[in-house]
Amino acid sequence: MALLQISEPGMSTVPHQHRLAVGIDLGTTNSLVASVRSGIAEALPDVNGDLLLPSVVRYNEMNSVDVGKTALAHASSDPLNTIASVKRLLGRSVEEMDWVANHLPYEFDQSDPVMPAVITRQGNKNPIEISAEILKVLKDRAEQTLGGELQGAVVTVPAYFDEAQRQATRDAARIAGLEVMRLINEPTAAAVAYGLDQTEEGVIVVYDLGGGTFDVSVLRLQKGVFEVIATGGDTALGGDDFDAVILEWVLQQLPGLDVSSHKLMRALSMQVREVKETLTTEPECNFEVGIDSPSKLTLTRTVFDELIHPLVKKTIRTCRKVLRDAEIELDQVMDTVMVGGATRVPLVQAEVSEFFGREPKTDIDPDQVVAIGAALQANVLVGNSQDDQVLLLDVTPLSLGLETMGGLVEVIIPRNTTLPVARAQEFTTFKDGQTAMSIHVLQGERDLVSECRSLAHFELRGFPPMVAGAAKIRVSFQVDADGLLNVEAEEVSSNTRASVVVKPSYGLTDEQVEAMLRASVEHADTDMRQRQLLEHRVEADRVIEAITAALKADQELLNESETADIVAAVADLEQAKAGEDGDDITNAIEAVEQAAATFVARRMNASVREVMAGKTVAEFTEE
Amino acid sequence: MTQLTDNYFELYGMPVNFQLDISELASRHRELMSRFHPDKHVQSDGLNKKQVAQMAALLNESYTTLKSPIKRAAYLLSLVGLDDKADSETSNDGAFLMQQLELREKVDQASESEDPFLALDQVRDMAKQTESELYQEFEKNYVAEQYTEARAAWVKLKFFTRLHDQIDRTEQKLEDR
Repeated sequence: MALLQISEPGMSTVPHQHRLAVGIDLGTTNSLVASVRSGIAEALPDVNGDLLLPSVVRYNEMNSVDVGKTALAHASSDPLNTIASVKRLLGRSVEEMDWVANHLPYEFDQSDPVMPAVITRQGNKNPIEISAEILKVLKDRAEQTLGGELQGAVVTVPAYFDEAQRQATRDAARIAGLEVMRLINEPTAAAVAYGLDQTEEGVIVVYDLGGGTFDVSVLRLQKGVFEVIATGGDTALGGDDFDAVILEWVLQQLPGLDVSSHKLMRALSMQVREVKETLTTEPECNFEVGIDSPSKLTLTRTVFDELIHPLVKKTIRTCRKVLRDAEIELDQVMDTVMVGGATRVPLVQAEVSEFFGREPKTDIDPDQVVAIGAALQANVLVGNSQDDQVLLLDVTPLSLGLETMGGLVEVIIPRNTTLPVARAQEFTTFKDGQTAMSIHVLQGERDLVSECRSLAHFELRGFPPMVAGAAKIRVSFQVDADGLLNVEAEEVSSNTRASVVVKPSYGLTDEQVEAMLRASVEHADTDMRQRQLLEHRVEADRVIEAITAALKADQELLNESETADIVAAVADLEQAKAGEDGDDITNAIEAVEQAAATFVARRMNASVREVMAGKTVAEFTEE
Repeated sequence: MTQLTDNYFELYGMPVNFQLDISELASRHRELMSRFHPDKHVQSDGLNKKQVAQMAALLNESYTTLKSPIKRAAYLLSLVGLDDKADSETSNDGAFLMQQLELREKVDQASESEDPFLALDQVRDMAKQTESELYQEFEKNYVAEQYTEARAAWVKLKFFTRLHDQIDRTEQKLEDR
């Protein structure tokens, strides 16, 4: 399959119309930024010509931050201030960090149970801030290479990332000053990079084994539409685990090593990675371990294969499960695509080939393929591409539900539901006179609340007392195209409409993000309020412009009083816009939206009819 | 929020019928999605974004419902005002219930058989035959506006949904073993 050319070389958009957009692969081990230039998507190099930015952040003695190779060089000498694999911490709470506590040599401040922080010489740094440092470097690299300010970015996440991890990624990008147009799943991005021959139709499987995560997605490709049918994986399985297995083997061979030495362990963790890489091409690897009196060791590929075999088998089991979820048989799979550096390991390639009965595709560098796919999608979303065909239809990776009686979870949105999705379920009260209800939102595949991830707790209060079973509490779940969730609850029967929008408890509040943004820009005294006011005014202009244009085009869809309502609301908005209060503007925008809701819905229905026009029932039944 | 077009079949301009050309439905869905997917409106204003997201969610819901035979049947029942939930409902057809019991036992026994995966596939094949007969029965009765009879066939089909769940879970356990 050829790489997608989003537009023919001769047809590339005129330079001054081209809007700068990038795709970013924020990886566990390495990160990349890519962009579409002259119709070709490619990863952007730094000044030294390097494409991969090691995902390593060091808080140095000079009160500044090193990212990438420079930071990596200090990993052994300054282990406590040099953070690698931060993606494994992203969106994780203290109790979920067992793995990390055992494998990463940092000191944590666990006083905030929701968001643990790494203790560095420059103070406590949470995983979101640390990730933002990596993103900032990539943003700067892109702006220098492309020669202008970025209009938008698409950032990739493992398909199996849950709500908390997605929200954390989005927050990190905001702090880095990126306008995130969309979060897309890594395997989906890889499929885009491979699959846009437009003529290719069929089912493909993306096997993505990165540094710290494993994903497998089954997609159907048809006329430029990439429909994810099912996805699955493991957010705590990757090439790092192969390293860990070698490390354990080393410790078994040399029981006398001082495992309490951060320095030695750091050096070792880098060494075992090199051993793994050597074994990709060589049948054995000789190396020396220890600082003062080094010991010689030899690891053969045969032994290495035995060590990692259980891990690789685990990925194959996941493949089988996802195929079943997708209701796809092995012989229906047209192609297998390999993504992620760890797919270079020969045993992985062998097992995947054996399971699918075909050689997987590796034409595009497995380290770059995700960023390239993200860049292609960014180019479409920012409006550079005239290609209307490309469309990604992705799914929810994990089931979303609510706690019900007895500590059980009732699923509202099952896994592998196409996005965006909105579903509602009605519940009732179980006690007479009850005026409040506690709502607990969960994510996961298990029946018991205690075995799922708790996303949010909130209470719906203040509905009138009724007999048990009379209240109708409607809980609505909405998952947007980024895979981010909103939950609202209201009591319907009494006509009291109380509703709560859940901001997931692990995420940052807007104030926190702003504070971090402020801390991260040089001019810390930038007046946020003033900037916000300007942003609200811009939004107001967009709304006024859009509604005016719509009225001009389709006024016949409205009667006189409906038109008058909208015009009045627009006039109020104009007035609010002239004022100095951002909240006033927001309220006025909402008022316009409410006044125009019916109008917009009618326009949309008209548009559906237009699309379906000419498709008569007769034409259809003849087929 | 304002109701958008509320009949799933009408949304796609397809006849209200159990018989449905799924590939035509898929192609119409693609066409509508390429107009209403939020990705096509990234640069638009907040109002449009909200409404478009709502429309895209409605399209996804309709498509998911119509393309699955069991959900489509339930939806057709709801359109004529019949209950489309059968969580704890049983059938009063004794012979049918006996057959269900036998199939369930076969699933349980499959784990001990020589080739358990083959044994499970055999149960699937056995089920397929009855299922397709029941779908025909559903359709025939629905077209004749004999909705109670149509619903009885659908209630039986729900047994098969649970049977398939059991087969899948058993298979999963065997693989994890």
